Amino acid sequence: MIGIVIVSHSKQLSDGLKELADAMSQEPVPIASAGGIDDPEAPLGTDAIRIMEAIQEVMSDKGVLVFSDLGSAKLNAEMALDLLDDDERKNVRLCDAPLVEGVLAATVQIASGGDMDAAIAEAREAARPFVDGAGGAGAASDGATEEGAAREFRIKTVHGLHARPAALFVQTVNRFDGPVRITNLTKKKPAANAKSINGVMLSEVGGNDVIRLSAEPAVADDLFAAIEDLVASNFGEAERAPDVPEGEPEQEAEAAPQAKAVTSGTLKGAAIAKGFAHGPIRQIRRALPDEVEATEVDDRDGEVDRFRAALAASETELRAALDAKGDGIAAYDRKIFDAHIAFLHDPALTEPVETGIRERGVSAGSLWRDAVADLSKSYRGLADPILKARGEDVIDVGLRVLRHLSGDAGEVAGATEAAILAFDDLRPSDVLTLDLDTVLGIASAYGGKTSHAGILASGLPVPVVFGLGVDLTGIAEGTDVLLDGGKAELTVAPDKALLDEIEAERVRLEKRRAEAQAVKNDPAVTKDGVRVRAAANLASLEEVAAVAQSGAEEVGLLRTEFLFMRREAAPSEDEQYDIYRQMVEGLNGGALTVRTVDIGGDKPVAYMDRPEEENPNLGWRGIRYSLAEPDLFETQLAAILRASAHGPVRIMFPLVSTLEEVTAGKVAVRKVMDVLKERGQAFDETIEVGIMIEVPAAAERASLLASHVDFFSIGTNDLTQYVMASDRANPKVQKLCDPFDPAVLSMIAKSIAAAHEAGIWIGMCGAMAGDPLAVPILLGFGLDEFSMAAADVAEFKLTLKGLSRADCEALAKKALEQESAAAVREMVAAG
Amino acid sequence: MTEMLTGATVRKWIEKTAAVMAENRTYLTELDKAIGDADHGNNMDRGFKAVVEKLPEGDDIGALLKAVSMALISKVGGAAGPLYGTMFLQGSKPLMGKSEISFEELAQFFEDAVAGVKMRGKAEAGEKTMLDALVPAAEAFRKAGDLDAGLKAAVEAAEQGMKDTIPMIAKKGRASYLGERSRDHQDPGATSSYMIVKALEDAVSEAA
Repeated sequence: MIGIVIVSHSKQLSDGLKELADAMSQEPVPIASAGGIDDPEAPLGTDAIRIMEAIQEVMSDKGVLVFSDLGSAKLNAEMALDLLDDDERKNVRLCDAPLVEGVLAATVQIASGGDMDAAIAEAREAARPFVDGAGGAGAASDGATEEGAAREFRIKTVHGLHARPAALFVQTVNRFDGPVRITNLTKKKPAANAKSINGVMLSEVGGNDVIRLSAEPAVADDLFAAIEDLVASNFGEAERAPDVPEGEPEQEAEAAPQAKAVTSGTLKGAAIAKGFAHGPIRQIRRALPDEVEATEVDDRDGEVDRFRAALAASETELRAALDAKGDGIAAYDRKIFDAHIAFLHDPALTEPVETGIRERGVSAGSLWRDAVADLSKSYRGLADPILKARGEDVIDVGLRVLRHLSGDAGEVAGATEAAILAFDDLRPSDVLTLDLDTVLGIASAYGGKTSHAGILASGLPVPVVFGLGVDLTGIAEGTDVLLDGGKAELTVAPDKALLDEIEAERVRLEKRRAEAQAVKNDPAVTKDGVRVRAAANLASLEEVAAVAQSGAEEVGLLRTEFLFMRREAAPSEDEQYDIYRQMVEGLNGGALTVRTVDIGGDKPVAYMDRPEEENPNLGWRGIRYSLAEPDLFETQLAAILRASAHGPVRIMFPLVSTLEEVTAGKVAVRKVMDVLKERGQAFDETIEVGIMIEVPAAAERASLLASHVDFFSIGTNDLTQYVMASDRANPKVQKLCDPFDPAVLSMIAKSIAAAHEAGIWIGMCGAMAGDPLAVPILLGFGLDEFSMAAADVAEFKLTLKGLSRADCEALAKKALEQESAAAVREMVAAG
Repeated sequence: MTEMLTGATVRKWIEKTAAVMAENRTYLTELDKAIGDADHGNNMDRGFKAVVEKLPEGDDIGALLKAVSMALISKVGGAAGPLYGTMFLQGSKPLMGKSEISFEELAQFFEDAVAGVKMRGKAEAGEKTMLDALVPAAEAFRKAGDLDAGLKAAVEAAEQGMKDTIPMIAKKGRASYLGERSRDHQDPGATSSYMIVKALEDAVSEAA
């Protein structure tokens, strides 16, 4: 039998693909995996010698088919061919096809007795899964005629004809001569080639779907009998799809849920951006229309030109929108739009349109809508949320082109009157082109945080809620609504009581804010004259001005993750230096505490090549990761140190658990200092080096650690979740995740006492530091620095003015004796 | 005046190249970061470290160069592996069993090496690749007419060729995905190629 060799940069990928392909076929096809290189330090890559050996392993007189992933894998596969003897080489073919789909398609074809050419053809068809019905995989070009014998079958496997059942089906059909076609009657799919795994997959046969098979009369009876057997044995699967009750109409597969008129009540969705908005709703339709009227065109060339002009105009528009944003758009976001532009050039979208115009004289708009609908549906049907989100991008581009085709050139989301915009489906480009002057808030029926529109909208200064459901579109234009971005709720026609409540809350907050603003530049002193340091947390260059004006004396925590995320490669030393320098220069002499990067398994960073972790919070992050990646770590340390020549800077290591980590971190600092000296670059030799106290082990050994560092800073979010062993993102247990729990408070008290005993200062940079209820307790424990969101600093100073250290010490002592977090809160609230 | 290149000098060349790659690991990776996948320095360093480990005893120049090729092929991982692997493999073939080689044979080596890279990479000079350093180096070497002058000319040509890649738009490899944005960056492959040629000149002048 023909052998297959899988060449991938990743051994896991090629091994996994072999596993998958092995499971696809009844007849074992010899498959060899040649992934990765033999270097545990840098295992990604390909090795021509390993590929050559893999070819020899599966070699027979039938030949070998080699699949490879990216660029250099192909080079190495070619190299491997050169290394073979002439005799061996003549039976080996390289196949240019998408790796996963190609290998699976070829495996099924080979298992069905296909020859080399058939396997290659089938694998290549997998490259164009979206052009069904337009000459691609499984289209009518196989010469089958509707006049052949036909029979209908109901497929009862739970997932229909997918994976194994699909492969079994194709292998069975391939035992018979002549063209065989499959039509999914339930989903009204066009007929496809039943001998092609792609044709069958694209027919999307689900459990309970009815298919029609047509074949030449000579083979029809035997073929149908064989399929009958397969269906009777349920393709060897135990589980069957539940029966559809007799007489009841079957659910339309793609029937859009209908919105009912909504005049009151509250819709719940997914929180994207916080804030309140109250005002009239403005409905904006951004779903792909169900149909664009098809007309017959006489001038077919003219219509093709018109279509191309619409594509070009769309591209110009996208590029102009990007240019207008300039540097105000992250590289990652820019990529989303680069992908949009790429769609405009994608033959999977454009070819069916041009062919349809040329061959059938159909107008471009209708063909384009259908091509967009098909492609987006293919994406949306995928399980991977990232790929799924591309379906939304396809529709976004699709609508833009449709707009140009219909001659309507205006952008969509401009409003003249301030309103809350309700989208049936928000597109990424909508976010980019919003006119925020007239937008009070944004609501969308569909979408979530991981959608591209969600990622973009999360940065908007107005409340944004997605996923409110189709009922959102049933709210009449102009209806009065209240959008609460924090709670992710939209209340239709809010009653006076609710509005009054929110208004009263708003007034109260505003009054307090005004009082706080009046004292924001005062020193942070209690009424009995105890001075502490009010600091702000910082997470991007854009926030520096806000921090400088907030009344904060310094930055207690700079989260550097922003520098590393949503980009393609780690930032260089100069890039980081430049940003840290601008920050410290923007702080009017206040110190900048730079925390080295803490990227965990829960925050994917493409270029960091991190393994997926079962427990990212307990995993390879913080100082653990930095110490394992010296290049990354030392680059960052060098940048921080160089910035220290421009103003007071501190270095802080996150997620420290042991003294060993502290020592290793300090060794790295010293090493980088030597390098800088050698380079003749200036830095502050007396720079303070401290650690986060956020792991219970560190709090427990605070006395030991304190003698090795210059300061501590308590991270309450992580400390709380580790002390309480509860995930704050898990709604079932997040109640446990309360920093007021006496167990957490005790850890905090202990760390503060240990720091002072060793003669170092200690701060707190978690959410708790800015909580007015927590301030008296922390003050009572003796905390030196309170670092919080810049917006909370003024209020913190106001709170502080009302407290005395002596009272707080007694209160803090009492807090440690309480039974529960709730009891602590009650006690503090009671004063 | 060097008449013949000896096996000992070739060995020194290879060891020198390994040292240069180790020294310039970060630099090459920085260059690659701008227009590629930021692994060229690591790959070359790893590849040549393996080369030095696997270098056979003796002064059979063909065997030495073939060993370089095999180690690079299996250790480099990225595109540089098969490209440099092919370069040394093609170049080594006529030199099998020779313990010293003449100017003519070295000129042939350069030309075979260049042909190998062109064949493997399906590339030509002017596409912002290794070839932009290697092609002029091979030509300059042949033109100079003797070993010492040839190597000096080759190094100069390779250096110029390397610098000439800065304004080029990449047509091959990952950098080509960047199109216009690949401008204003020096090609890491051309840079490592220059370093290899330079290491040969250094090895020869030290031996003299």
